[in-house]
Amino acid sequence: MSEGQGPAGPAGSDGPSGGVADAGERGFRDLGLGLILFGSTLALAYSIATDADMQQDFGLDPGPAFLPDILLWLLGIGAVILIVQGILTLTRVRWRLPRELVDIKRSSVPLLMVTSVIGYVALVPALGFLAVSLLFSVIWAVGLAVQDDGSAIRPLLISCVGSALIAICIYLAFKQLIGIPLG
Amino acid sequence: MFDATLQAFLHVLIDPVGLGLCVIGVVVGIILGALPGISSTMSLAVLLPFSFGMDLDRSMLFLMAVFSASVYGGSISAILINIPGTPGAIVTQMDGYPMARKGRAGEALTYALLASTLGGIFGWLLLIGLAPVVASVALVFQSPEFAAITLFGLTMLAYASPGSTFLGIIGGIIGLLVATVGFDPTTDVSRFTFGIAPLQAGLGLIPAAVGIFGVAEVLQNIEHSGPRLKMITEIKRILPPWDEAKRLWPICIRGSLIGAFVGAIPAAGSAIAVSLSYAQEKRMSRNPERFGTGIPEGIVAPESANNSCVGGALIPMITLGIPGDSMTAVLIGALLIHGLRPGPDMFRSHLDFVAIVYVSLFLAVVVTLVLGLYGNRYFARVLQLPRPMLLTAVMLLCIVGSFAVRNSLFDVVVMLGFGVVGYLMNRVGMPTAPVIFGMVLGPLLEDNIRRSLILYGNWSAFVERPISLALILLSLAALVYPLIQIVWTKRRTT
Repeated sequence: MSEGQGPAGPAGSDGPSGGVADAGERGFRDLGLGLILFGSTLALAYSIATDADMQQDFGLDPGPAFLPDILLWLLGIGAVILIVQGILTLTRVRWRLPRELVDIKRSSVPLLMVTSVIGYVALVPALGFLAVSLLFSVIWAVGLAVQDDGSAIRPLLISCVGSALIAICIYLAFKQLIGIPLG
Repeated sequence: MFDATLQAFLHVLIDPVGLGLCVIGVVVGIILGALPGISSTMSLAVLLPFSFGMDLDRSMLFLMAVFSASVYGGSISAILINIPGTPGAIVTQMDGYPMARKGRAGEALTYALLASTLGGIFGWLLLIGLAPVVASVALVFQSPEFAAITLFGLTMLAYASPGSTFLGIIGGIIGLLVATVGFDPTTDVSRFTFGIAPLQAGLGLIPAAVGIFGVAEVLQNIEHSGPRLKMITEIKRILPPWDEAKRLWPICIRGSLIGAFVGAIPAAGSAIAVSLSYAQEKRMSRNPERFGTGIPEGIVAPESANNSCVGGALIPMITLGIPGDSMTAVLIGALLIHGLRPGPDMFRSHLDFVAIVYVSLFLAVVVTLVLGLYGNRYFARVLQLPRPMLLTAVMLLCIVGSFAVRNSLFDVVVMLGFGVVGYLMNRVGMPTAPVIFGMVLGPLLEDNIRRSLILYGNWSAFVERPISLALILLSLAALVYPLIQIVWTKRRTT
């Protein structure tokens, strides 16, 4: 019952080619992903190779590096396939890259959210869960309400008050009902 | 088994707290399932921490209620606003929304509810009928068979994940690698910890699941302003005409059968089941051109299949310890918190747990029917709740829920990390669920391969034992099939 849409072809072949722009985007995606995966594989492989504990002989047991070694090989091969596939696709479209390599505008709000959660974690030891949760909820509710409805006052107020109430409810539910020590 | 189930049923009936949790689970499940952008898996992941403080029986009652009800909840938004609340409801909207636009929104919701109930009961019957059989077969399995079936399950899960199969397999490998972080249980050597003390206990499954299924979806939802929804608010008549309803029984039964069996195949998926069921009815219909115009057949067929998948997906979970889908992967996370790892031994040493799963699913289906019949028009109102409020609440639940696993802010950071990775994976079209499948199955796979190698001395055990060999060959076939498909497609086009 996975929430999937069923099987599809491998990367780069999913769906009919949607023109040069799509192919360029796909090629760039495969190449970028392949390079990231290959870099990570090399870094992890290096950490295993230089770890004396991992390289010990454990007799009949193949040891702690056994599965990671196999997986890193597979991941490395997968990364190379992606890189080759990306290069081939980009060569086919004469290296016409998508107009925007990284859609910064699209990612700006999620990036803000990630930063704010890091801020949340940093502030909790000093201010406690309730205060930080209230701050987080109200600021985000206002921000998202402005994103949705501009500066209309009513939706802004509803979201603001509603979010503050929900934050208090979540805090009380976890602290009182489940007994989680939220400071 | 019958005695244990009866005992569990009576035990639940005289436990008002347990019943209350079941009702709360259904209500919250329907509401979250109905909200576009909040999938059933996300609902389950963000509500999971609430079950930590409960005993196992009550947590199962609560979680199964959320699981089953959220699957039905997806149809509410599909019918009223033409956006499926969950991917499983994707086909329901094709006839549900046009039917609602004809002024029959209440009847469409009731058809979806009744079909879901019948589907749920079918799935439940398949679960109680088939699970003991599968478990008894699995009892003769030894390490090589377990390793092979884990590999097969993982391959199938990666294969059937949405999007690219190849990227799904890569996702599965990443999940397996993530599962190796921390102390190696056999040798006590720490792996990939890089001197960070909290990593020695490994990366938690629950924070990872909450991040991948919850945070990633929130991040995706806040990229743009929310859609202006054209909601059908007029829900007049609830009960459909009897003459029309009674001719839909065979469709409902066919849909349920398709859903239950498709759901029992690891990772085959509700989306596949609903598409199959809808296509089957359209093919059998004398007036196939009417499908998509707002006919009840187009709601009943996919909805019965969608909900019967729930029972089916639980079969590989409780008998083999292999998640049938992303939701059961999250459920396994909950069981691990309670110190249980599902598998064939469940039917010998934890019969009471199996019984409570049976009872919980049955109660969830019945309570969903009762609450749905009386509360559908109220549940529909949740679609009018402000989006900023909902997204903020979900994010807060993700944060506090992850902290609650081990009372550790490090887990919140882990959750955030997985959320970012999940978001980026979604952006590049890489399926995220296989990462969690890999994390669930990783320890099982490694443990059984290493045990086999210690016991048998070499790899021969995997090919000399027929079941293990068959499963490995099936896994290879699942891996090679997409490549053959590409070559075949290229040959046909040239």
